[in-house]
Amino acid sequence: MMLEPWIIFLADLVAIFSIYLIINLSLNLEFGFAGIPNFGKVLAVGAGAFVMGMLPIGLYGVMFGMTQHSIHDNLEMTQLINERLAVHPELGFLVFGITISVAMAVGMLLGLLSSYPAIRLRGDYLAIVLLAFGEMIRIVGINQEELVGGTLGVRVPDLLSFVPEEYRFLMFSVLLLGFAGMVYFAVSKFTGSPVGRLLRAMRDDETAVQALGRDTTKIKMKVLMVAGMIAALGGLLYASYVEGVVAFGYNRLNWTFLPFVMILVGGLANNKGVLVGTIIFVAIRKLVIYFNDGLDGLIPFDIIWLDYLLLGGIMLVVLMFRPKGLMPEKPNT
Amino acid sequence: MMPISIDSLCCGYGKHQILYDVSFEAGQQITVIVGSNGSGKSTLLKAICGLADVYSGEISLYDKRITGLPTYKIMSMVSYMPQTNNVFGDITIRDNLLVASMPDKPDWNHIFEFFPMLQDRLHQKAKDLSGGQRQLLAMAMCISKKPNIILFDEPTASLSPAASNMVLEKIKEIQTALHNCIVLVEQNVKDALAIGDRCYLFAGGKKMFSGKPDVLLADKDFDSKFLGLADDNTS
Amino acid sequence: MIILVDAAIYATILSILCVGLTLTYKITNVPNFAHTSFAILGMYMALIVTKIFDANPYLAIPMAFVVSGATSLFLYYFVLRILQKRTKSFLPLIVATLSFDIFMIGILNILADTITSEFQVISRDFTLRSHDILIFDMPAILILSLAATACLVLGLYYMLYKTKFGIKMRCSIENTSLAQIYCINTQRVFCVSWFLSGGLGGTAGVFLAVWFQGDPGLSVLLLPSVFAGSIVGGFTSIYGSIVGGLVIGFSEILVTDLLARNFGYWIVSYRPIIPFLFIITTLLLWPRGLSEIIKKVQERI
Repeated sequence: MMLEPWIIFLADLVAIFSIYLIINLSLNLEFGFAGIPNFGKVLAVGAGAFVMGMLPIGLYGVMFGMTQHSIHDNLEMTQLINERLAVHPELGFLVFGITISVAMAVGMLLGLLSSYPAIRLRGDYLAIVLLAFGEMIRIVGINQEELVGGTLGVRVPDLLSFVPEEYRFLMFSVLLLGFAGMVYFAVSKFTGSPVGRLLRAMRDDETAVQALGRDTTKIKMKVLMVAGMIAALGGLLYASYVEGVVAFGYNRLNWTFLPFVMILVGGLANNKGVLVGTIIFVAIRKLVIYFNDGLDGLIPFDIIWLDYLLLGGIMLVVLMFRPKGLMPEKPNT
Repeated sequence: MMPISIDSLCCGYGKHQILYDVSFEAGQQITVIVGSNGSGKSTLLKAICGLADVYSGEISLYDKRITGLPTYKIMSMVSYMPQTNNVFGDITIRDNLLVASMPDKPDWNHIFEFFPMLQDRLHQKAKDLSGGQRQLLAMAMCISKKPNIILFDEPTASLSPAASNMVLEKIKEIQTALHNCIVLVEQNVKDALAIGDRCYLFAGGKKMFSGKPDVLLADKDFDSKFLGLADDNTS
Repeated sequence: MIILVDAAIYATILSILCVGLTLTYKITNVPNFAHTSFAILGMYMALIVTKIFDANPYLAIPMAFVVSGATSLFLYYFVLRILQKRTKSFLPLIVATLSFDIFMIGILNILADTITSEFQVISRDFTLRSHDILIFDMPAILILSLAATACLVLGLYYMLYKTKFGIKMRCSIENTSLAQIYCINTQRVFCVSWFLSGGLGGTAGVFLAVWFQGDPGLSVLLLPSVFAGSIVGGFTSIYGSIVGGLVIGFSEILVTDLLARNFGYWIVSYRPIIPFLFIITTLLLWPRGLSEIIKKVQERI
């Protein structure tokens, strides 16, 4: 049985939406609530994906006593692993669980690392340093072949190998939506609590919060660690959704700029706004790709560049005419 | 023809309104504006210079409507001395005066006639001057273009009593020599009223009194109505 | 020897770009993340002049200066100026220049594709090195890029310290509202600076096209080096940025070469990390960069 095209379209939309929602919520926590301009968002996202590309295949290799090289015989190995997982789904979930914990720990460490400049620098200097942090992960990923296969990338074993092939795609979208729902619930709970109010107070007037006896250094560290964890989870889920990791893909455009666009359009420091912004942009990008095929051959250039014009253009228009986003922050809620 | 005439002006900064329906006139004499902190007296000067947002009302200089003009255009008719940061610290005194008299060359004789002490400091950087000297440089910059209208925003703030007397005397001297229109905003009420020809009292963004300074000084309730208020706010 | 020539050309081009970036940061407080896209625009002007109009690449400099300058002015006048009026926060400005950069990547790629499809000219990974001329048996680009940097140093000094516009500029930087009070049209000063910054970027792009491989993707690769140069120079010091650009340019090429000779050629692919390391260490450990030293030297002169 083949799925209807519109179901595939919708399932993919839901999956990409869920992944971006998770990442955007973490960015909103740092930037919207705590006021830390994390222009190196791609760092934690990429790290999560890299863990997904490295760890499971190694664990399965040991578990199943495989002798192949995880990078050089990557394709063969993932195929064999997927065959085994179809029979032993519980192993898949076990490894997935381990991978998630490791990825989140790595994300947390990277958050701790980013807090070093975040505590010491202000404003645009901080933004530039964090941007530099973010760029480094791609350079390392491309050049260190033993991490995630360098320029060729690696494949990631399919957790849902036991599900009949025609439902696998749908199942994964549902799984991702579940993760996104959990993160949304947890983050909303957190930002609605007194801690959330403290974060916003710190963003608006750091000295005042310090004067009240709160250690803003510690608060910033904690926020960056939590956000790093969430972002790593997002990166990991993306890698397992597309069943592979290619270091080239973890660039500034997709995992830093786009999340910023989404939360700025939706509304800073407003989780519902983030939800709306994410839906709008994921839908627009999917539709652009969908309808682009019709334009092929009519214009003398590659159509993907229109995507750049559109993204950059929309962001500029929003900044100029709707600076608070579609759903502005509510005071004192 | 009045040098400055303002008709029912409402203005402020962004959404924050400061002045409510203020009418104001200044002739070729020293007009003093007094009032407590936050009464909007400095904002009036800024509104004339195009540095505050005008919501309604008209500002005219010599019957020429200037409301809404960009600052650099208005300033070809007016000199304005801000309360703080009124000189360019990173450049020399000579360059400061050069900038102040652009597009013409400075008339050095005219400047040194009023401010002889600047003569041998021309190549010093302005940030190396003392507080009082800096105010004098700022005043020299104001007169370098021989303007018909000069606006002084609290020129004696944060100066010692001796220095502030010197500054006020200088203002009187300038007006006597040039016969121009000077508007002086002051906290230092009694000294300022002593050199003023006409005065305005502002409170809460509204004009409370206008007339001769001696009328205000003679008012029996002057202390409680005005100085008391000022003391409350400054202490 | 060739590595020294490479390093000298790259370093001087980089310092021209750093001056532009520092100029607009110093004057309007905007770290312009779209700055290198002006250079790539200049690069394509050089390609068009050389391959389509069959002329010497250096003839593209005036065109590149004007086109890139106008693009830069557009960014300032229609976007940043309006955002700055509304808010004091630096974040919308950063996001705006990042957005403009994304927009420019689209434009540059469309330009490249169109040049190929309409004129059958290779527009990706192209080089114009064979069109360069020789002066005293040396590639003209080496002499010209060095001369351009020297002119820039002297020209900027003359403009900033000896002309009325320079005084106006320094006043506008120090205290915008006071400058307005003294009849300086600060808006015009800012616009001229942005035009100049973009124009310098475009000129640097022409030089780049003559010696190195041109590609729309170069913009992203070059940006960290330019920021590193400006930051090492102190980010607000024009002369610091010239020195900073030279430091980054030489170390990117010479240090990589040195390390590669001793530790193996795998190191070459890590060259992009060098500017990031400079950025991070400078901002965290020595935020004023070279500007302190430059200031002392200037005062002694």
